[in-house]
Amino acid sequence: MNIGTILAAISIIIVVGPIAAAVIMYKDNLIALIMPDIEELTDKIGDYFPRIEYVGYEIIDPESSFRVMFNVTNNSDEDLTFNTINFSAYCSQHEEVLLGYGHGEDFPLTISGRSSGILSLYVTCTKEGQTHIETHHRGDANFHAILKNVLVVVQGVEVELGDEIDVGPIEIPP
Amino acid sequence: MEFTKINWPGLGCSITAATLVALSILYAAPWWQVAIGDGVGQAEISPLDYKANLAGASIEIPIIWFLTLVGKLTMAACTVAMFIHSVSTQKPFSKHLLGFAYKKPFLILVLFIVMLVVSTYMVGTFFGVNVPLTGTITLSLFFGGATAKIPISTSFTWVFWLAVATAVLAIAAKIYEWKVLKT
Repeated sequence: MNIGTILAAISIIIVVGPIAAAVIMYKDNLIALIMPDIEELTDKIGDYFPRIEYVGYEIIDPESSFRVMFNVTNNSDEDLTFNTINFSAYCSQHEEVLLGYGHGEDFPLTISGRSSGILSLYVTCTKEGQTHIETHHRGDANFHAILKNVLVVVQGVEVELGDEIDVGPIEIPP
Repeated sequence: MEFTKINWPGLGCSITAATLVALSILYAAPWWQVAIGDGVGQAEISPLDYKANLAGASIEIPIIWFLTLVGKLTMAACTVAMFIHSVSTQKPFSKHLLGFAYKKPFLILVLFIVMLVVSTYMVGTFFGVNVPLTGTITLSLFFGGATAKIPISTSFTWVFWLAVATAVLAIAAKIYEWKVLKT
């Protein structure tokens, strides 16, 4: 056999060999050869999204600011970093009244893989918001705020939430 | 061994091709990479290796492992054949070895570029966003009333340029054999 024939055979074996092996190995389910395992992928991607639960609030200055805390559970193996969070806070009972603006505290916040952490949001009341709380909600034990226009930057991805977030009950001092 | 009888571009090609194979085996070095957000997803792709993950999940497509094995074997065969040809250009089998080896790096490179262009075109068709072969774009997605702006960055790595050099040297080896060694 001349060398040209041997080299041609090697060329064919190099290309056909692995592909033939793949077809033989997956002969019972050829779709699995060309498609990723969607079910497993969906489960893992589902774990990537953190579970966020409202924990409570803390009044920093009864007239001008408060803090809202959430527990964030990261179910994935990867670290999760919140870069920024910005939002507007409105009165739940009087929806048109803007109470103030808020942002994430001590950001960027990184929650390690397979662990939980506290995410704090700091809300600063506007003059209008302060007046509204003093006039309508002083001593209110069941005050709720609604967070709107929530803009979250997480892992470099900017997400503008369409949903509003209800926070409360917050006890307003008399 | 006479230095004037060595196919120098061929020897260079065998060295760069061997480097590509070694980089693949040791580091799974990609030729092209795409990053989604800041660690949300990434893909590192070459004809010799493939690694992709999205939201912490590894995206494994079995056929790609076999195709990258074809790439590795082809590049390894090219390395050996080109080296033997380059140091034994006067031997009767040498011309066959060159014929076997010189087109392979070029074909691998062209197929890789075609695959990239087709893939980015398909992403554009499905998601309505033109992913550049190199650069950054922002993909806007709407889901459940929320809007997400996802930065996507793509780039060729230096290993890609090493592959380009390998393909050029392989073609140069053929020209060298034809214009210099034959005369």
